This record gives sequence, structure tokens and C-alpha cells, in this order.
Amino acid sequence: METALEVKGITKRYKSGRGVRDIRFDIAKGDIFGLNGPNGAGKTTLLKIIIGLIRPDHGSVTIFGNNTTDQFEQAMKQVGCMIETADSYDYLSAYDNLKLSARFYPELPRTRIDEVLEQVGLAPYKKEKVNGFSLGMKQRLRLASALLSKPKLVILDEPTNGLDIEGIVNFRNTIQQLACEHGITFLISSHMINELSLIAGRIGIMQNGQLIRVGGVNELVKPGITLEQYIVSQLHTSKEGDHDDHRQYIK
Amino acid sequence: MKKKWMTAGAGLGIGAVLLLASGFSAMANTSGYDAYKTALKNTKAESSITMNVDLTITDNGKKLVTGAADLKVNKDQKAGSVAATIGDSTEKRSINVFRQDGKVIFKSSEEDVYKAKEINAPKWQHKGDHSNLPKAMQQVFGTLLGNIKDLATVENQANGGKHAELHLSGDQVPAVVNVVGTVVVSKIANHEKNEKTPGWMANMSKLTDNIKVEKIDIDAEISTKDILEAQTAKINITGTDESGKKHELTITIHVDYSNINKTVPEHIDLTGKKIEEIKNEGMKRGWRH
Amino acid sequence: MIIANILNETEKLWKHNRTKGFLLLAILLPVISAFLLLHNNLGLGSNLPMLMLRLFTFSLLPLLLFMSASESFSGEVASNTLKLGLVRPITRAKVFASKVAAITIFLAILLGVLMITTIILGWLVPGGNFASGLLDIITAYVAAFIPIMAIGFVSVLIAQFFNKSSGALVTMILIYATAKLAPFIFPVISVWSIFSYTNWYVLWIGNGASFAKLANSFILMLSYCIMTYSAGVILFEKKQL
Repeated sequence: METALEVKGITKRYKSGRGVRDIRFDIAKGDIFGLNGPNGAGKTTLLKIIIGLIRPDHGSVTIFGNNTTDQFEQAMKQVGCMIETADSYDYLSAYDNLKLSARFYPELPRTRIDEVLEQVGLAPYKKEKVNGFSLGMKQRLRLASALLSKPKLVILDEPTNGLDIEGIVNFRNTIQQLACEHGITFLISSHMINELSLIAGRIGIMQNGQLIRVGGVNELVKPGITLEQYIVSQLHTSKEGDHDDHRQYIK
Repeated sequence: MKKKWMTAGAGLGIGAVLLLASGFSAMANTSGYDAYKTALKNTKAESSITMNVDLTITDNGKKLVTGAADLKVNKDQKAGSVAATIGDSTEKRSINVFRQDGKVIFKSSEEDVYKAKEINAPKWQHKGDHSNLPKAMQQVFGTLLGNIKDLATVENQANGGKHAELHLSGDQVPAVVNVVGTVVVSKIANHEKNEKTPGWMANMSKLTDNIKVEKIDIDAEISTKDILEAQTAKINITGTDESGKKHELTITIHVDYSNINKTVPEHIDLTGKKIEEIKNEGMKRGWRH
Repeated sequence: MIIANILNETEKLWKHNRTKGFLLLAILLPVISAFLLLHNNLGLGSNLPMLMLRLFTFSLLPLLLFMSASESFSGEVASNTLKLGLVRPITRAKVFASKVAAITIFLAILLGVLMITTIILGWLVPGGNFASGLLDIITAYVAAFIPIMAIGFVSVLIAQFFNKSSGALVTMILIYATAKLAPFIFPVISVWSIFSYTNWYVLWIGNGASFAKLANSFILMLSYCIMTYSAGVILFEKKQL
């Protein structure tokens, strides 16, 4: 099985002491990988390192065989992403925003922008400027921007933030369809485990900048307890473990 | 990755070397402006000097105005004299000024009276470095000139002296100078004439259209000792009058410097002459605030 | 890829009303000046291109560059849009290059519009006789582009230190004002400061300055461009978003 994403020993330490430590995992092509963990666990930092917005202190990221440090352009050609703190140009229309992005992929057909706007349900508003958009509409536009280039790996950070129920269902269907029909690989972060468990095949749990558990949704859920309960129990044991780890560090 | 930093680092290094090289070479380059500035400073520092100033204004080659002035200054004797005349072919006026015995004395050709005024310079003038103010002025002037300074050139003469010049023509003439020059000329042309107006000013043709400062030529001869020997400023202004006739006004000012350290200003014997004392109370009050 | 991003950056600049406003100024100011000249019966038509060039190189062009640079870098950090371009298949060095290129392109367009407007107006106003001066005017406008571009590079470098366009813009204006005033007190600065070269173009017109002098100033400006560009790239590469 081809590996879509390989993360090896990623470490990044901020002056505040926060950051991520020695993260390792990989995602096989066609998988939907969910990244879960409490707020501030380091999910966004990890995703930003993967797509090159932040430079790690150590470690490497490989996307379809291309290292992001030395072969950034080749690596990112396969990637579409949506980062929580990235906004669209609010003085441009939805269509123009996507037009800017489309210039990076000369092989895309002209109709692709309308296609992807249709897919996320923004087609009726495509000529409107983004500064008039609601939170949910902006989120849809970000998703459209991530899917625009027909990427083989899609990285989404808290994708359902601001979406209404209909939007969430729509989103879930879109993702599952893309994964099944086109073999697209997804890396999705969310602090809502229930939502992740509905679409993800494998889940990684992060806490305090570390990836504490990785496994299939079915492996993680034991009979009799919900995934939610399982996660909470994992966080607890990990906290104690982390404590030990710290003590060792001080010694 | 490393290659990227090295490229950028090399850029910084090469840029810095280029900056230092070009900056120092620009500073080392003695421009005409600097040569002139030095000579002017040295000339001013001499204890005595005679200056013969000639002024002519011509209109299409016809002399409109001629003026001449002999200035003699001796700092050690605290004395100076000016004998100036101005006028056209039909009318001449002259004025004499003497600085002697702590007084300034004026005498105009119109009147038979010598006007004398005590020199009591305000206190602030005695204190501090006198050259301070001119130096500041020089800096302001130099900065305002900006890159135009670099158009001034200097040439070494066969006799060991130097010739410095700044010739501006056409679009080289700073637009600001051009605007000011044009406004001044058109104001002169339009101003109200009255009886006191000297004949030559009334004779000046009224330029109304297309006024343009065509040329400004400044030339200076500098001696082997870096002292000014002579300098000429020539300004060419063109324009048309109301009848549409084209005029070319040329203003030339030529100054000769001579008798350095050997100048004795004229002295006037006031015995038996009509003298009028001028009090300068008003001035004093003005300074006091 | 770099072409794609130059197009993007140019389009973004163009979509800002400010950019269009500057273009409008480049047409309106000469028109207003021409009317003033006409009204006061001053036949300064042939001076219009130089008069406007002086005005624009001294104030409006640097201001345009300050605004564009602070918006393109600091402003995009503040509005969270810089990331959009950085996660596309294009290296940061190329993103930087295309942003600088877009700003430079606008400077060239603005100078071009100003030149054409003033030449046409100069013809309309009495006194506009360009028989000999046209070549001088074109030379001056081309020469004026170089120091202003170098100032643009400096402002791009300054923008790297700010995460808000307002802070960057105010700092650039303060630096510019200080750099313009400093030579009044320390004349030697005028040799070294790139900001003292805004009326460099006067050395090119008429019989002009010597080749050595022109080459010297050119190299000085070039060195500013190289240094500020290199430093800017390093800072841009190091940015953590």
C-alpha cells in the first residue's frame, strides 16, 4: 500500500514551553485519518508543520515520497489544505478567491472552480464578496479551496467549525464520497471525537504536544464503553505517564 | 535548505561590499560643488579682499541695465566700502557705503546728505562661532540641491588653478526654480508703475507667455591657493510679450576677486559734510521681544 | 509557478481601491496643475512632466510603495491571508519574489501613466514645446524608476518586521521623513542614504553627469536592492505562521 503521508520524529518547541514532541505516524493512501485531542494539544501546530507553515526543530515530513523541506513544490502539488487560522481575501468574490488559487495548477480545466463551488453549495453566492459571508459560508469556501486542485491528500483543520447541521452532513458525505470514489487521502483534525469517529478509519489522539495513541476506530472502542469515555480515560493515564516523563527529565 | 541561506547570505555580503565601495568612492570624488564650497570658505576667511561686481541684463542682446560695484573689505581694520552704480544708457544712480570708525555711512547720488548709523550689533552676534550660521545655511542649501550638486564639474587648469562649473539647461533646471523664476518675471512685468520706478525697470519688456528659465550657468575660477579669483552667474530666461514677440532675457553677474590681504577700503572724511544720524531703536526692540 | 503568483499578487494589488486611487492621482494632479498654470497665465507647459516627476518621486511614489509593501506582507499576516499562498506548490522564495515583482510592476505602470499624462497635458498648455525635451523626459522617468524601486525594496524589508500593516506603514513614513531631514544636519548621510537619490534622474538629462558618476550612484542603488532583497528573503523564509 502506498504511503500518502509520513511524519517522522517531528519536534517543535516554542519559548512558552508548548509545542509538539517526537511525533511519528503515517497514513496509507485512501485512508481517512482523524486527529483528536483537547484544545491546545498541538493539533494545529502539527498540521502547520506538515504543510510547511512552521519549520520543525527536528524531524521530517514526506508526502507521496517528496520531502517537504527539499521538494516543497512537488510535495504540495498533491496537497489541498484548510487551516483554521487562514482566511480568504475578503475584498474578493468567492469565485475570484478560487481563481487566484487555480493559477497554481495550470492543468486544471476552467470549469473546475464552478464544479467545486457547486460541491460545497456556494454556487449561488460565487460573485459575492467574502466580507459579506457568514462563518459557515467562509468555512465552505475554505473547503472548496482545499479541494480545488483535486489533491491526492487533503488536510483539514477543524473543518466543521461554524457549519450548521446541514453543512456538517453535507461535508461528511462529500469527504466519504471523495475517499471511496477517488481514493483521496484525508487528514482531519477535530476536538469532537464523535464527529471524527463517523468518518475516520484511524484516529490519533494528541495531548500536551504528543501523539499518545494511534489506532483504528474499531480497535480503540472496547465493548461497553463509548469512544468518548475511552478518550477521557486515555488522557488520564497519559497525564500520569507524562508526569513520570517530566520527573525523569528533571533528573 | 543550506544552499538557500548561503545564496541569501552571499547577496547580503556582495551588497555590503558594493555599498561600501560605491559610497566611499562617491565621497572621495571631489565634485565641482565641493571645490567651489572650499574656495568660497577660504575666500571668506581672508582678512581683506576687493570684489568688483558687474551686472548686466540684456533683452534680445540689447543692454537694458548695467550695474557695477566695488566692494572692499578689511576685517582687521573693521572697515569696508562699497561704490555701486546701476542704470541704463540714459540714467545712472549710484550709492556709496562706508564702514569706518564704528559707523556705517550711506550716500546716494540722489541726495547731498551722508546718512550715518552706529553699529551696535545685537549681543548674540558677539557670542559663539560666526561661521555657524553660514555652515548651517550651506548644509540646507546643499541638501535642497540634492543630486543637482553632482552635475557640477571641476577641471584642473594649466596654471595649477581650477575651473568649477555648474551648467543647467532645459529640463535640468529644477522645476521649482523654473516656477519661481517665472512667477517673479511675470510679476515684474505686471507690477504697477509709479514715479519712483527707475526708468530701466519701466523699460523692461513685459513677458506674459511661455516664460521659461532656459539656462543657468555658474562658473568659478579658483586659484592655486584654493581661493576664488572670479565667478560668473548667467541666467537665461525666454518668453513672449503681449504682442507675441519673443524675448530672451540674460542676466549676468560677474565678480572679480583681487588684492587679497592687501585691500584698503575707501575712507571718507566727513568734516564739513551734511550728516544725518539714523537711530535704530526700532530694530533693537524687535530683537528683544 | 512564479508567473502565476505574480499574476495573483498584481491582481490583489489592483483590487485594492488604494491602488486605483494612486493611478487616478497620477492623472488628476497633473490635470489640476495644468489648470492652475493656465489660470495664472504661466506658460509652464513644457515643465509639467518634470514638475510632476519631482513631486511624485519625493512624496507620492514612496508612499505608494510603503502602502503596497506593508499591505502585501504585514497586512496579509494580520488578515490571515498570507498562508493561502504559502500552502500552494510554490516555494517561499518565489512567493517573496512575486510580491516584490508585483509592487515593482505597479511602480512602473504609475510612472508610465504619469509621464504620458503630463506630456499630453504639456502639449495642451501653452508653452509646451517638446521639440528637444521629449527624449530628456523619457530618460528622466526611466532613471527615476531605479531609486524609487530601491526604496520599495527597503520598505519590503521593513514590512517583514511587522504583523500589522498600520505599524509597518507608520514606521516606513517615519524612517523616510527622518532620512529626508537627516542630511540637513549631517550632509555626509546624503551620500549613503538611498532616500537621498530620489532626484537622481537630473544627472541623466541634458549633457548630464559623467559616466563614472552615474555608474557610481547606480551601483550604490543596486547594492541597496541586493542587500534589502537578500535580508527580506531570509526573514520571509524564517516566518512562522
